[in-house]
Amino acid sequence: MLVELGDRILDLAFRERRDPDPDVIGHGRIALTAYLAAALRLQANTARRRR
Amino acid sequence: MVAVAKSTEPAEPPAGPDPAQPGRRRQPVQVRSRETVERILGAAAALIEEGGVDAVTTRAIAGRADVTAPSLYRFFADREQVLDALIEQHLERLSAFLAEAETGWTPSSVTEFVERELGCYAAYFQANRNAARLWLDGRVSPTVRAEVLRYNRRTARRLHGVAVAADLAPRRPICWSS
Repeated sequence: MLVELGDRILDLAFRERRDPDPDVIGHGRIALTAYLAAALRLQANTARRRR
Repeated sequence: MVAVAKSTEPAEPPAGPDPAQPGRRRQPVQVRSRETVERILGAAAALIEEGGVDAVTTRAIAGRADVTAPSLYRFFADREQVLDALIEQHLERLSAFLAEAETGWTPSSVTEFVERELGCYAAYFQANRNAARLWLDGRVSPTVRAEVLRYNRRTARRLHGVAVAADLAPRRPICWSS
């Protein structure tokens, strides 16, 4: 999921542009970081519950 | 009588599809053939950079590379195989670029991890405009689509390895790629 999201962000950032759109890269970074942190938290919680 | 120096290069196989691997493009053996293939790929890259993936036709590539159509068809059956070879070349270079950027690097946080990875890809695409267009717009081509999918799966495994080594993620993978 993380890779697919990253791929989509790069697609948006470079659409019709020679250089990446800094706003898209910035927002993409926020989105990916938030997703990854939440996914890791979720996995940690699931592992705890199983124990 | 003039002695003719015997070439130490292996003989080029005959033109046409590779009989050992039907559907696969023929690999250049001789230096001259490799140069021709490089010229063809360079021409395709230039066409993508100027007009996007749609601008790539075998006729346009041959014209741009200054090779005859039979020379092109000796190594590539069609446009798809040229795009396939070009994306393979970019993926090799991108992997080398990432390996160099990540040497000795251990991310200390999720934020740093994402920033570095996204930044590396953006930097490569910025420096290789045709790679960005081929990677992002070339997915109408089945060969490019398959190559992108394979690469994304490899990337997911690589990123998971980096995150585990940095103690950011558990060994049991979360969903890194679809």
